[in-house]
This record gives sequence, structure tokens and C-alpha cells, in this order.
Amino acid sequence: MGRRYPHPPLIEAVCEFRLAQDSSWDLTIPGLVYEKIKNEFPHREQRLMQDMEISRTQEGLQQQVRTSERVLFFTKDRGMFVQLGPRLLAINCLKPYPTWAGFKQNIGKAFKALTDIVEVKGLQRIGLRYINLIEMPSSLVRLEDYFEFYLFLGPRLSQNMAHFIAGCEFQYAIDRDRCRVQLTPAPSASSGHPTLNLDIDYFLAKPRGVEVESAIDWVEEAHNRVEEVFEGCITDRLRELFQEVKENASGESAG
Amino acid sequence: MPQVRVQGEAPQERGSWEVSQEMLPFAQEEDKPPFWIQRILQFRGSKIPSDLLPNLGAEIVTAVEGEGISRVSLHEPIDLTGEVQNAMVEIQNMGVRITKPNEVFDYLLRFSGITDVTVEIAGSAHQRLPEAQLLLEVYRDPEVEDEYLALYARFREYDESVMDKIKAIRRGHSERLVGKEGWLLFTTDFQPAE
Repeated sequence: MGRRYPHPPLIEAVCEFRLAQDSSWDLTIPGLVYEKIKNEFPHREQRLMQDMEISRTQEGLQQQVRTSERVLFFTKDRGMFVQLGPRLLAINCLKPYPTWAGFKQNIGKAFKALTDIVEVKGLQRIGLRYINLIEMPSSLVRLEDYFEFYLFLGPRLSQNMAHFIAGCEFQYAIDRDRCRVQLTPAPSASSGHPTLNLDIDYFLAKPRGVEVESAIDWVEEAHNRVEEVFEGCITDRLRELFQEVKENASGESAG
Repeated sequence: MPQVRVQGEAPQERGSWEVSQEMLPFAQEEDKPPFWIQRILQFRGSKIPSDLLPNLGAEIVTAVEGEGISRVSLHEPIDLTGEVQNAMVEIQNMGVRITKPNEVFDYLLRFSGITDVTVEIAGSAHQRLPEAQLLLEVYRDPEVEDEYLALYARFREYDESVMDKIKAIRRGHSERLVGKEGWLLFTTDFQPAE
């Protein structure tokens, strides 16, 4: 079990499944899935999405913008929702995070509802993404005091960054999976102190690298990796800001 | 309207893509590109390793190599955080004051269906009421358990035309709020502009 924080920085977690192109899809599927999950996700909304495709052919570059419909099913408190679009299922969880067990239960339910209706021939991509918004305790901070994942600047460079992107992709499972980590500035918080996005996206980099039946096990494994990466990115000083609950030797919470 | 053009070496050669911009019709003349394409456009003129393209905001990039063909697919992101953060930056860049950004962020995250229209109303107010000071906050009704976004226009002097001007802007966008969860009220609190 991972560390526990009464004030976690997590603002959104997303689990997504993109089905391979040979899986059939039609416009009735969102409605059929809704019938199976409407007790947990009763509120429906629709949005139009734009996807873009750029092709380089012998005639030159061609660009195409396609509009597709995405249906969203929200829980009563709107803290969690399911998105369904062409060959896409995503389950989003907003803060306050209901624990991994609570989130995973809904991931499993939504995925089962989809696979009961659609013959999923393969998974192009699975992703588990955790977006953290971290507000610094003062106006001027040294990133290295709070992070073990940051941009290193040599002493001959100005230390006053107006903007930055620190990003990296880590390999897992012999490069079947990857974890993309990014640290970027976010819009300022109410306090006026700098705020940072720590975005951890663990995904299946090899299309069809996981069998459909093993997808939920993959998600569990992905969650373990995301936790490891998160803990690897931060220092104890930041853990103090999240007010980590320490456990004593008998495993009981001590604070 | 601008359109993204990404060009360069084929991605599987681990080459770089040059992001440039051309003035071509996007979806419709009056449309602007979605925020995630705008984010890519910020890098116009830059050469970006193909592996890092997804980090610029597109949710997924798939590249397919055939007989002399490279194809890149960019999908709209599935998280709400990026969309809401970009909207807030856009609103603040219009000069709208957000005194408690955490509260506005939390509200838009929960009622993300009104994010677009919030930007649009702020944009109209900014354009059509250049003399006004604009403030965006979450209003909590103390008598009933209700909260909504309030965009206030404050003026140095108030006359009879103020509410007419505000109502004219409201009318232009009111339909876009119908049927949405969450609410935005554009009004004035008759406080003097600073």
C-alpha cells in the first residue's frame, strides 16, 4: 500500500482504453453502455470533439480535422465520469480522490459494461494518468528542495525561469509500457504562490501488447508504477506539505 | 484562421517536426482552434523531436509509415485539467481579475460544460465594455445551497445604460448555457472600478 496523504495534490485521474481499429463501433454503443452503468453514472452530457490528422503524401502535406461526438456519464456529485467516443472509453476521477480501490471499482465496471456489448478485438492503448497540482508554500522556491524530478540549470545560467517544461518518458516491461512524466508551471493559485502540474501518464506503448482479458490487471500494475514514480518525483519536504500520515510499527496511523 | 502544419522527417526515423502556421480556414471561419492545437501553435518555428510531440498537448500521436506516406493523428485530450487551466489563462490574459483562482478552477472542473461559454462571455465583455473592470468569482448564495460563477463588470460611474449593455451581452450567449450543468451570471455589483 502506498503512502497516505490527507491533502493530496491530485486533481484528476484518468484511465483510458482505446480499442483497435478492427473492433466494431456504432452510435448505439454509448446508449447501451449507459443502460449498464446508469445507477452509478446517471447524468448524461454530450460534447463535440475535434481530432486532427496530418498526412504526408507524395503530393505534399494533407490535413484533416474531424469532428466526433463524445458522450459523458457523470456520477450524482460529478466527481467521476465515463467518456465514450468512437473506440474510446475513459473514466475520469476528479478531486477529492476516493482512494484507488474506489476508482478501480468504477474502471472495472465501465470496462466490463463496454466489453459485454462490444467485441473488443484488441487494445490500441491503455493509459492511467494522474495529474497533480502542487502549490508551493512561498513566492520564491528552489525546485530541488521539493522535487527529485526537475530541470537542472547550471550556475552560469539565469535561475529565474519564466516558463519551463521538464519531461521524460521511462520504459517499463521491455518497452511495452512507458511512463511520461512532466513538470510544468500551472496558473497561479489564490495565494499567488507558484503552482506546478506534475503529470504522470503510464500507458501501453505497444498496441495490442496486452490481451483484452488482462486489461484490468494491467491497470493495477500501472497504478503501482504511477505511485512509485510519484514518490520518486518528490522530496520529504513536499510530503510534509501534503501532511503525510505516518504509520507506527504496528501499522496503525500515528498522525 | 490558423491551422497547424507539422512537417519534417518521418517519425520512425526519430526525426524532428517543424511546427509552422498558415492562415487557412480551420473548421469554420469564426472558429478558433481548440486549446490543445493552440498550445502546439505556441511552438511554431520550433523543431521538435517526434517522440515529444504528444507532450505538447495532444493526447496521442500515432504515426503510420506506408509507401511514402507518414500520418500523424492528434486526438483531443481526455482530461479536463488542461482545458480548464487554459481557459483560465485566456480569461486572465483578457484582463479579467480572478481573485480566488482555486475556487474558479474547482468550479469549472466540476462543471466543465460551461468552460467554453465562460471564455466567450468574458471575451465579449472585454471587447464590448473596454471601460469596465471585469472580475470572475464563484458566488455562493447564503440562503440556498447554490453556487455559480459570477462575472462582474464594474465601472467608474454608473448610469441607466449599464444594465442594458450587460443584458445585450448576456442575450448573445444565454442559449449556450441552456441545458448545461453549472451556471454563469454576467452582471454588475455596482461597486466602483478600481
